[in-house]
Amino acid sequence: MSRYGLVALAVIAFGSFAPAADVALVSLKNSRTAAVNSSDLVKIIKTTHKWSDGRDLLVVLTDPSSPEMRVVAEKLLSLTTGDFRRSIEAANRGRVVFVVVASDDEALKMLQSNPGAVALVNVYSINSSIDVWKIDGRLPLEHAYLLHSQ
Amino acid sequence: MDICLRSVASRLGLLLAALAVLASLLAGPVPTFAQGSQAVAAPSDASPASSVCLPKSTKSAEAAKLFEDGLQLRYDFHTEQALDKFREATRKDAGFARAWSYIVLLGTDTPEAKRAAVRARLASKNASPGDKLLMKWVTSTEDGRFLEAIRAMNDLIAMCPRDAQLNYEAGLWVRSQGDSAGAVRLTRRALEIEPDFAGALNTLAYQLATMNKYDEALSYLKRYIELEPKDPNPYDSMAEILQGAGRLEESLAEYRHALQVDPTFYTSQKGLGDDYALLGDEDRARLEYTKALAMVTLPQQRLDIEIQSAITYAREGNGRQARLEFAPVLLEASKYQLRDYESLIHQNLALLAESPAAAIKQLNAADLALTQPGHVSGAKRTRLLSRSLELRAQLAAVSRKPATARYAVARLDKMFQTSHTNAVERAYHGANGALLAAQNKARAAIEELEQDPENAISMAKLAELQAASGNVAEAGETRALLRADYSTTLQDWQIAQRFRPQ
Repeated sequence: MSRYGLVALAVIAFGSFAPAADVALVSLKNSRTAAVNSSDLVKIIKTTHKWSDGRDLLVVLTDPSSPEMRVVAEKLLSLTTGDFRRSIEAANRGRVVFVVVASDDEALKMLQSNPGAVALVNVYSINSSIDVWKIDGRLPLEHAYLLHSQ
Repeated sequence: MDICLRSVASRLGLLLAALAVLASLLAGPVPTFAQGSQAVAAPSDASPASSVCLPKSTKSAEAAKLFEDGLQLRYDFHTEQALDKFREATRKDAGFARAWSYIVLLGTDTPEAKRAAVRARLASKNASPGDKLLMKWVTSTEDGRFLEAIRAMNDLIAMCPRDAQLNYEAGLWVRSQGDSAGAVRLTRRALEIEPDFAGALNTLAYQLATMNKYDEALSYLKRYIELEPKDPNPYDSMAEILQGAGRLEESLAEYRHALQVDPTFYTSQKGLGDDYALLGDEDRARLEYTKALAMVTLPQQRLDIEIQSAITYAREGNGRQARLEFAPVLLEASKYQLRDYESLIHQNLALLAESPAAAIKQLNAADLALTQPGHVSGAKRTRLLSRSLELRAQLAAVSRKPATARYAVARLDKMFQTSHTNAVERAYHGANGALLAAQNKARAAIEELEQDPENAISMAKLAELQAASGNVAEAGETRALLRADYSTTLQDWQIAQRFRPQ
């Protein structure tokens, strides 16, 4: 058995003891109030495309069919991946509401240039330049966080 | 070989300053802007790179040398020896923040790690920004503040984006958190930066194998062998991956190759036993295990082999003899106060029990062992307890003892709320799935069991429910996964053999 093999088998046999990956809703540090109710968020993303203070919504995200965005589509928006993609295309016919980028790194860089925007990223991509939002009072990796994926 | 089993889950490492200098010179382009609009500003392409990420942080040449030696041992997964070097380094220089951080890292959730975390915080007050981030990454993990740990890790990577060892260590860390895809991405990046990084080749192969990408895994191991042909470990790794793929004859050949290179390489000797056990030649397996016992130095290594040897009798259908063989192994674990092994042995005995009542009695003992003083970290206790409770629920559910199953589910739910960890979460879903299945709530049970993919009992129940629900294709896929499971644990074997042609 190899040096690393023991480790790998241990993980297989017992599971890793830390949280699994969640999707984080993030914004540039100190740029916004980093908390939202999921029902409000659904309405903002699916329908109004405006925050409660009247500001335009701008969401940066990765490929809607990625595992992370599937979590957003299914658990937050109750949409299939296909419907999520179509809703993005429909919303962007007017002004740009959703920006699809190639990676989480790119999404976070977009926030630097667009301080009013929010992004949806894998929680393991976060850094100290951004705030992570609470959804329904819970942060990623906390018990019963909405955008949790196993 | 001295390896600390199952305690690696939150290990991380640090970069060597010299490598960082070289790596930063090789800095690549930032990702391209894929899609956007004129109304939206393009991303900033600032790529913060530092030529010296983690400069030498001790004035003691002896401490620095000990630390470097420890790093090499750590990258070879000689955890205990590495820890010894880091401990010695802190004795030479009590203000050596990086060495304290490594003690926290490798001694996860132990009293020593907690004491070292305090020392790391104190020592890092005058340390470099990189060392401060490293300390924050490590101590936040230790404290269970994972968002802070992630931020610190990514800030450190941003400081040194082209550091191969940092990317490699980050890959190990995110894998330990349950992010397999992230682990593969980071380890691949390490290899892009440093193609001859032997440890990364080995690690990536195992990461891919756990995702059932065996052919790709083997291609990295071939490269690993080319790089280190006189080291037994590459052959041993090749053998283990081949074993996982069910290519047992090829695996035997590679284990023998490793032993030709180093006749004292006990893991390969044990691997021969595992291969023969999986091939059904239990007499030969026991013979190989006996040879391995002569090579070991630590009680944990001895127990690992003795457990596997006892399981060979169960494979022969002789559960009574298996139970008898486990008895002295249990005493040995107890003698050394190795509570994790005690608990594990009781869990195996529960699987071999003659009646549900006897099984529950063994699980009570498994849980009790974890409450006794001894050599087991808090994280390991949590993992083993969650596994024991899940097994309790599974056994109770099939033996129509709903109250016992509900009790186990309730305890796991409580654990999950206070200790939101992957192992507990999966165990909860598996236990609840078993309970729901027993209550004939097939749809809800399927949803729960799907959340517990690494547990063979859960997967077997899932296949049964999928078939009963008319999901023939999905049931077939689940059964195929179980047939292809060549894990060496008793539970995995008990399940897998039900799905293989006799």
